[in-house]
Amino acid sequence: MRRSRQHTGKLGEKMAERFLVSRGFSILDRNFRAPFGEIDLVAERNGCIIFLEVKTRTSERFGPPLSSITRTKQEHILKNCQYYLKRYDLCNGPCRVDAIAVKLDVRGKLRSLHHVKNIIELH
Amino acid sequence: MLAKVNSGCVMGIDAYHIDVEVDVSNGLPSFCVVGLPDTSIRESRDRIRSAIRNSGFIFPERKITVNLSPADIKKEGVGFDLPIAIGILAATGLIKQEELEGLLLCGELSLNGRLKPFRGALPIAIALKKKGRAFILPESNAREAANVKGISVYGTPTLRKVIDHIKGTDTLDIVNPREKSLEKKGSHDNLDFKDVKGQEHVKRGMEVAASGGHNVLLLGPPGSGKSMLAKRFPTILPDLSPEEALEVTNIYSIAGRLKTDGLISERPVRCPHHTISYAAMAGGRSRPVPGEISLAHNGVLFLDEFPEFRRDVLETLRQPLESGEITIARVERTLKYPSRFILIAAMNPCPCGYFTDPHKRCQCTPHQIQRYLSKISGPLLDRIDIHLEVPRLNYEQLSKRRSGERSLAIKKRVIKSKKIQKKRFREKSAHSAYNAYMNPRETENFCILSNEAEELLKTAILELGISARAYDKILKISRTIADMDGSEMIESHHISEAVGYRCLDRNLWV
Repeated sequence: MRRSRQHTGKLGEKMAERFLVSRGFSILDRNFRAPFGEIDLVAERNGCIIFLEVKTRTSERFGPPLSSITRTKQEHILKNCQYYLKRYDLCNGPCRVDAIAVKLDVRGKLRSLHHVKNIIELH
Repeated sequence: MLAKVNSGCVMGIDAYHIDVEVDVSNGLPSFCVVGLPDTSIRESRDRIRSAIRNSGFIFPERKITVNLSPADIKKEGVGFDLPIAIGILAATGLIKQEELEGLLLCGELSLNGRLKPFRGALPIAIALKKKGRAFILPESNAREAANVKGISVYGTPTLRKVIDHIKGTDTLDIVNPREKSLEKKGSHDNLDFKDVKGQEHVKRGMEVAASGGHNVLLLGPPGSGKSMLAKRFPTILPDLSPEEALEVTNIYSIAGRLKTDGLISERPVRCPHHTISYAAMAGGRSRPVPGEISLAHNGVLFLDEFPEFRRDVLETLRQPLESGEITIARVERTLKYPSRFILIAAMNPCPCGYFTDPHKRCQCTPHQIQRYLSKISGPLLDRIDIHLEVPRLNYEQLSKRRSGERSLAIKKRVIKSKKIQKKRFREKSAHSAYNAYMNPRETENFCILSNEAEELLKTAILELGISARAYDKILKISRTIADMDGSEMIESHHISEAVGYRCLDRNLWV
């Protein structure tokens, strides 16, 4: 039976976490509940807080993973991150928002993982 | 961390010192510019980001705030790319604030980090030379700014080289101005007054105009030589003084029309077509770029087919002819541009052109003639000092072998008259030291008439119904004629010649 979308998503997040840890990031939080949804991962490296939006796909039928991060979604991510910073009093250090695009095959094996830095365009 | 870079910008004809402040702080990465930047400066963020990255430096993913101070002047132009980029690199610690002391930076950046030219380098250098000891700008602008004494000018091709120079690892060379700054180019060499046959009366009138800075209206049928004479008028004008040359170069720099590296050495001659628009003549509507009347400053504005110009375009001439400057009023601010030129207007006496021709018959109705001439308003006509009729030459005159006097000989006399005026108006600036620009008090002081001259003038006023402004003009023209004659006092023959140049006042016309 085909596993649910939630399962795919959770799988992708696990893989993203493993990838980050292998690159020297320390994970601060997972699936943090925020006013506009949730923040998939909050990590830290070299004093910089990194918020991660993880997008997992098994097929390209609905386009590449990152194209689903629309302008509205960006605004929500931004608000969520600001909430987190305020909540845990972390406004005194550098921070940024990254995205990780995970492509899996139908069986759940990793096909590719793409880490994009700094996806928020602030003006 | 905070960094401050000195820069400048141009608004209208003036340059202002602008402090570019850059603050890099914590928070989600952003990059914003405040201080009333215009669209081109707001767009520069992406240019600067790419330029910094492609020059091999890291663009900080931090909260970047750029302030262009003073914050209440609307900033225009793209010269801020370089100072902002350097400010960002200074705020992240790559460049120390002490290394930026005494430096002025301006320039546009392209995506690969190369520096591109910007408008107004010369006026910025002039205005800012007291604020810094060195000016770093794009190579193409460097020579223009090098003409300013008291500041070292460095021209640079890339952002990377600027940083190397500031850090001291690879200093740039100082750019020197062209050796012969006011080199005479001789593009007027092929035009000479001796090319024009006959028309001695007109040539004399133009010599008076050149000597005293008076405006001229040439009236005559088609083919009588009006354009030919007008185009040769610049050949009898004295050369630009260094002060005048700087003024002209300033204006052309702001207009983005500076082609040479050195100062402009020849008097500008502008010949706009009669279909020109209001904005092109007076100065830009949305963007304050100098118009034709400012580009003709310290030179000649030649308007051929004078009545064919649109009425509103002709009306733009009123203020410059009166006060030597043009005021452009917009919603946010008012700008003043200098606009002191000699106007040469040429026109036919009627729509078909042959109204005064002794041989050809005029085809126009009186109503047509009236309408044609009334296109030029009374007040505008009143501000043109000298009216010259340019008659059609008959065969004998045209085929005469003997050519007229050479321009150089006429020019020498004009320079002599100019010297007298320079002495007379020693307090005034170079471009105003002409008889034509005397104010009423000066007219009273310097135009002393002999008794006969006064009598003659009185008669002329009574008989010919001359207006007060025309009376004032006659005095100024006769002052010039007396100067050309080497006479301190204005004699009656000077008056009679001057009255002769006011044919349109005499109501003999229509």
